[in-house]
Amino acid sequence: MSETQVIKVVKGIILFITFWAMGLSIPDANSITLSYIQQLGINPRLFQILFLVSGSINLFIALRGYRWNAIWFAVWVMYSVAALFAYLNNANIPLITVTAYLLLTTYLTIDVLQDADLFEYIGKRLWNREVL
Amino acid sequence: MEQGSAVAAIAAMAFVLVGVFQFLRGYVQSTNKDYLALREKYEALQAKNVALETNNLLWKNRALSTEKSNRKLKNQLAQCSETIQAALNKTRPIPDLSQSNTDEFPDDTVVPE
Repeated sequence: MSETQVIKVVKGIILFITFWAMGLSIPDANSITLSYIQQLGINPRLFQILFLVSGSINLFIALRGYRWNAIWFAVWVMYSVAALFAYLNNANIPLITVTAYLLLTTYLTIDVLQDADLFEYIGKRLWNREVL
Repeated sequence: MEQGSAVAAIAAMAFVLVGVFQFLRGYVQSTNKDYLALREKYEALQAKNVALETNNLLWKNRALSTEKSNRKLKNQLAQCSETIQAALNKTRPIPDLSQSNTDEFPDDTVVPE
C-alpha cells in the first residue's frame, strides 16, 4: 500500500467519523443553522440521512481507492456555509466551530478542484477557441 | 437569513455540478480505449518510478552509512597514530656514547696485565 493510498484511507475514515458525528448530532428540534436549510424546504431528517450516506460513500471511495466526487461533499459544504451565515447573524455558535467547518470545506474544495481538473479543462477549452 | 440560505444552496449546487462533471468525465474516459491504454501505460510508469525512487533512496542510504563508517575509521586511524606517536615519545632515548660507562665501553688506553 503506497503512501498516497494510506493518506486517502485515513482521510476517508476522518470524513466518515465527521459526517456521521454531524449527522447523528443534527437534532430534530430547530437550530439556527438548520433553520437556514429548512428555509430551502429541506427536511432535517432528510439532511441527516444525506450526511450519513455521504459519510459512508466517502469511506467506501477511500477504501476502494476511487476518485473523490464533489457530490458527496455537497451536504457538508451546505451545512458549513449555513453555519457561517448563522454566525454572522449573531447566532450563538462558537467561532472555533465555524472556523473548523470552513477549514474542512476549504480542504475538500481544494481536493475537488485538483481531482476535477476543472481549471485545466476550462483553460484548454478557452485556449483552443482562441487558437481556432 | 434568506441570503444565507441562498448562498448555502448555491455552494451545495456548485459541488453537485462539479460532481456530475466528474461522473461524466469518468464515464467518457472509461469508454475511450485510447485513454484507457494511456492510463495503463501511465500507471505502469508510475509504478516503475516508485520502484526507482525506492532504489535511489536505498542507494543514498547506503552511501550515507559508508560515509559514516569511513569517518569512524578515519577517527580510529587518527587515534591510533596519536597513540603510536605517544608511545614513541615515551621510549628510552639513545644513550650518549661520550659519557658512557667504562664497563660497557672499556678504555683502549688501559691495557690489563
